[in-house]
Amino acid sequence: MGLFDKTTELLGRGAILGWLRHSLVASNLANAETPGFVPKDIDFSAELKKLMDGFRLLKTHPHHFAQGRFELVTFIERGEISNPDGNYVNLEEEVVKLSESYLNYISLLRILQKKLDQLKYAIQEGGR
Amino acid sequence: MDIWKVFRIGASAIFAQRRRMEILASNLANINTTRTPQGGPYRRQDVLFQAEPMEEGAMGVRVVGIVEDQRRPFRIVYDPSHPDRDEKGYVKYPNVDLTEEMVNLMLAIRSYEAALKVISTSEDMALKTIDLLGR
Repeated sequence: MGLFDKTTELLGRGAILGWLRHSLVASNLANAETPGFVPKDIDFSAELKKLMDGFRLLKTHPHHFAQGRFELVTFIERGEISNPDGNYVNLEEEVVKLSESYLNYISLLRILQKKLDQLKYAIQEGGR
Repeated sequence: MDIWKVFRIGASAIFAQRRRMEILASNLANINTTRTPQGGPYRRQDVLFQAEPMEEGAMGVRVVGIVEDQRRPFRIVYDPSHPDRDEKGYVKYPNVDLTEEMVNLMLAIRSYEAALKVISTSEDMALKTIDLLGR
């Protein structure tokens, strides 16, 4: 085990996933009036679960989990009724998702902060 | 993963909506214009939005063109004293509908505000992330 435990690493990756979702919401809002645009989203809890499952596996290769990029992200298309111009964006839903992704990200960040504080505390106390 | 991408998306939306507001303003300004450089009354214009792919599936928006409304007929008003009347005394006024333009303007403002909200939220998220470093 390195300096950072798996929870810290997972929190970090969860935050990246949260940011990615946030940028997708931004993209959906930007294209709320683009003809034929279909909104995109990621299933946050499913993706996070995949990440957790990934962390239960043994690291057999040093590059596993080392990349910053997500390859496991899937896009789901939402919305059944489109505008006459083929746009499927639901503005209200996207605004709610914006707050959701914001709060999600902030809470992940807070927990990450706590983890780092713990580490700092351990280092400081160990040095006495 | 690019943290700045979301700001570029927000900026693209703000810019696109501002372009649209300019066009709407032009429609409103020319609601009674019967003479244009290309001849004939002013035709209602609208912007054409197109999604612009960025990495990882997220998309910005761009105004790819300004289209003239050729489909809608001109408003015909009987006014025999108008210099641009036809031989029967009818004047062709632009195919601009005031109510519709006002509704479009409100939509543009709302979209503009939504994009601003995205930018301020993202900024807050980024600042809080940077704060982690300062501890």
